[in-house]
Amino acid sequence: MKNIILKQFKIILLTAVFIFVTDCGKRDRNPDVLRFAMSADIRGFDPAFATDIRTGKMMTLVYDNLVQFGDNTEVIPGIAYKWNLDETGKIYTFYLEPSAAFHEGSKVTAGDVIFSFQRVLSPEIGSPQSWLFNKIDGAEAYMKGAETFVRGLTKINDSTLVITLNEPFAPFIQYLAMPSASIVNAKHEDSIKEIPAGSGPWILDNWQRDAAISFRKNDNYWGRKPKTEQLSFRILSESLSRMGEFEAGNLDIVDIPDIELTRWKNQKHWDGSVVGKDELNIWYIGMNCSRPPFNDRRLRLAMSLAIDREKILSILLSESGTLAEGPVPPQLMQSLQNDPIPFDPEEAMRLLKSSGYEHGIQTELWVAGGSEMFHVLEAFQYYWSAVGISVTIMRSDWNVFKTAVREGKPDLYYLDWFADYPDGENFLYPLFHSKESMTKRNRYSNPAVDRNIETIQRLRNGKERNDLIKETHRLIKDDAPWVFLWHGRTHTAVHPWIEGYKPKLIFNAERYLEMHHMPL
Amino acid sequence: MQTKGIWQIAWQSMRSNAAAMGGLFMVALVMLLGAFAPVIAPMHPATQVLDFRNVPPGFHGKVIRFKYAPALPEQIEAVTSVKKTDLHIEFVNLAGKARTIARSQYISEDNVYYLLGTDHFGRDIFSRIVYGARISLIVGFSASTISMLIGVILGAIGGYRESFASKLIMRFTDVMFGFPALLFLIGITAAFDPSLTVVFLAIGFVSWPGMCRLMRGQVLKVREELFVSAAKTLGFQSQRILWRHILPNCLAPILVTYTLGIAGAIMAEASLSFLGLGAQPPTPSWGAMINNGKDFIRTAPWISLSPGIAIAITVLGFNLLGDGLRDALDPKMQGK
Repeated sequence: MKNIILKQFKIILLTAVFIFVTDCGKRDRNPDVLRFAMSADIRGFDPAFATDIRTGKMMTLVYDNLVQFGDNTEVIPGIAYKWNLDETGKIYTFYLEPSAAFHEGSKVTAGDVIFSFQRVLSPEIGSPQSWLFNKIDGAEAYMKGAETFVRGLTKINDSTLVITLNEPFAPFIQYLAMPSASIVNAKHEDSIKEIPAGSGPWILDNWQRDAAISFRKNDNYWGRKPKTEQLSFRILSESLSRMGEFEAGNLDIVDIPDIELTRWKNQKHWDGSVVGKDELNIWYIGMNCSRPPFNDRRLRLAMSLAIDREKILSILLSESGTLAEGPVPPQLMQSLQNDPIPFDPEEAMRLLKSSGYEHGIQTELWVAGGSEMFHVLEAFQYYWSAVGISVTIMRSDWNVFKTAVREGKPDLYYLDWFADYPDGENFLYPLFHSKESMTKRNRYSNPAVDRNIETIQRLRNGKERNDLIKETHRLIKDDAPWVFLWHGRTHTAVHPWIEGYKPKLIFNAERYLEMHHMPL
Repeated sequence: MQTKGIWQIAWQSMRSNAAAMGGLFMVALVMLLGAFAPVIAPMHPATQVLDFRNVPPGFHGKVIRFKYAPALPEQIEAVTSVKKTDLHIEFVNLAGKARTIARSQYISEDNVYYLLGTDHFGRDIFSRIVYGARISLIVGFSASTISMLIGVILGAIGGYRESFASKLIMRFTDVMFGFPALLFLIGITAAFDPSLTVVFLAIGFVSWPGMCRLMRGQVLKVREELFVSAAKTLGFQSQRILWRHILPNCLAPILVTYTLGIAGAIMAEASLSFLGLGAQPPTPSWGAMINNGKDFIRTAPWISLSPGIAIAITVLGFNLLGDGLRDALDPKMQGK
């Protein structure tokens, strides 16, 4: 009997030692690898289908663009080391870096650029991103199949490219820095979904679906080379498990979910490890402006006045955002007006009364299932009920939700918008121009706003353009087609052994060139 | 001497069974909570006091209660100071902002006590649990009643006489048994707009096969008894024999299964609400409350823990009661 107990004790002891030893091994970090986590897998490595932020972030690692985004709103050289725009504002000339080469060694030429752009426009590929290039002369004809090439894309020689537009269009240069404008290697197009065919600073090492993606440094990169050897992205869908892995030292950097923020801010141990970063996005509640009850501006305004956004932001979201005054984030307008719609339930009730709804209204608020910050909706619901607006929250699957919004079905819907490129225009045309809003969004239409947006698209950067963006922003704010909620602020926790981390304004500006482990 | 009826004997047996009496007590407690919810709960279950978000059990704080208009819900706001004049009430909230309301809107100044703490919207968890008892009980009883009705009728038909219909019924029951119940429930509730009605109907329609088999077994046994033969000899119709003679003799096991079924239905409702397929916000369903708290399990564990304990007590109560009933109503157990 005693023997048996001793034997069992030995087994337990051995197991404990084994666990301890293997666990130690895990904590012994490899200084050559930067370790990250993502909430879900990417769609693949085909830039023509890079419509979401996660996929876009990966594109920028393995591909190059003609131009790219800098740390802030500026556009900096990519494959094109310089470019110019003629006086008409329609003809761009790009001069390509002669040393730029794809991962397998062949040179990146003007022909490759033309191939890549035509690919996105091609009806056979059916890319949802063709809007990026449809302002190029001849693009429409090519998309309809009337012509076999795009007239406006001209190769002068291997390192000189001319792009001609139909009309002056200021955001075009920023379009060229977006993930779907990546330059792909024609020779490896067949396997592009699984294996990136690019020229970027990183080369795909391994992609295990729904589990992990890893990259190794491109030693022959033509540009500035990364300071670390490898990147590893693990897919962990639960935010709490990501945080746990970070605390255990198995991740180098992680985004803190807003529900955990207070805990992190209050712990002395993490002082100096949490970095805040304002993002180019907006969360909002869209209201259908084309039919009662929300075709009445007074009622739309009442929806905003009835909720204490400041309190919700500070208490429920632990300050992970800044209050939105209107659609355009403050970083994209030179100055801040600092005049948000206040919390004024009494005024909201007066407006309800004057618009004939003094006995309150009943309506539905649609939201997509896994929507971020979903939990704030119950707070809105409560604030609205206090002034007599009874709102039922309708949760639905993302595809059902998207279709319903497109068809103008919901009276109210909760959604967000993330910038494709850092320009105020990106928060105006796709959201409030009647061409877009009447067919895809909340059916808002104001001819003055339309005219302004069209002018903004033509004007070159400068004071006149910036003033017009501000003016349009104000017009939209006065019409109140949305309840403008907040612009997000992400908080990132970085381990002290990481050097060179600098937050970027737009998601695909991060190429992990500077970040690295401190020497052991 | 008066002879004791079966129910009297059962009650006596129950009274000497501590576990069963414990179960009865728990069930009675939950029922009382549910029945007198508006009296017991210190706050409306949907009232949010954001300033008192995620506060631990035992917290108390100063608040002001008011209403924007008589027909609208009561508002509660955390305050540091309140100043009253003849026409207005001015108060300063925790953020240091002063607000003024009309005297007519004012209800009272209060010191609220949070027995079980608050959730992430600053809602009183105790009040929500008290109101949540109603939901659990409504779903438990309705679903179990539906499943009993279906099960008893089908089981009686299936057991009384060998026929094509009875065979069909029993094969159908086998098929229903084959489905994993929770998966089936998720399928049904996901197909409709989520609501409490859908939930208890779905649970009722999924959980009857057990009752049906039990009923059939009982009927098969009882129909061979002498009194049934006697009734047949007297020329009574099958309908009458089945419902007036056989059914009353099957009541005991039905009652036991019914009681245990309530416990099962409460669990099923909690699971569905946890998955977001049950009662919709801000309805204080216990399952949904656990789900709400899951993101805060490290920072405010009481949000999930309290409804979890409430479910455990209720389900345990019904299970103990059911077991006690089984022992009490089983003649073979008498005197043991």
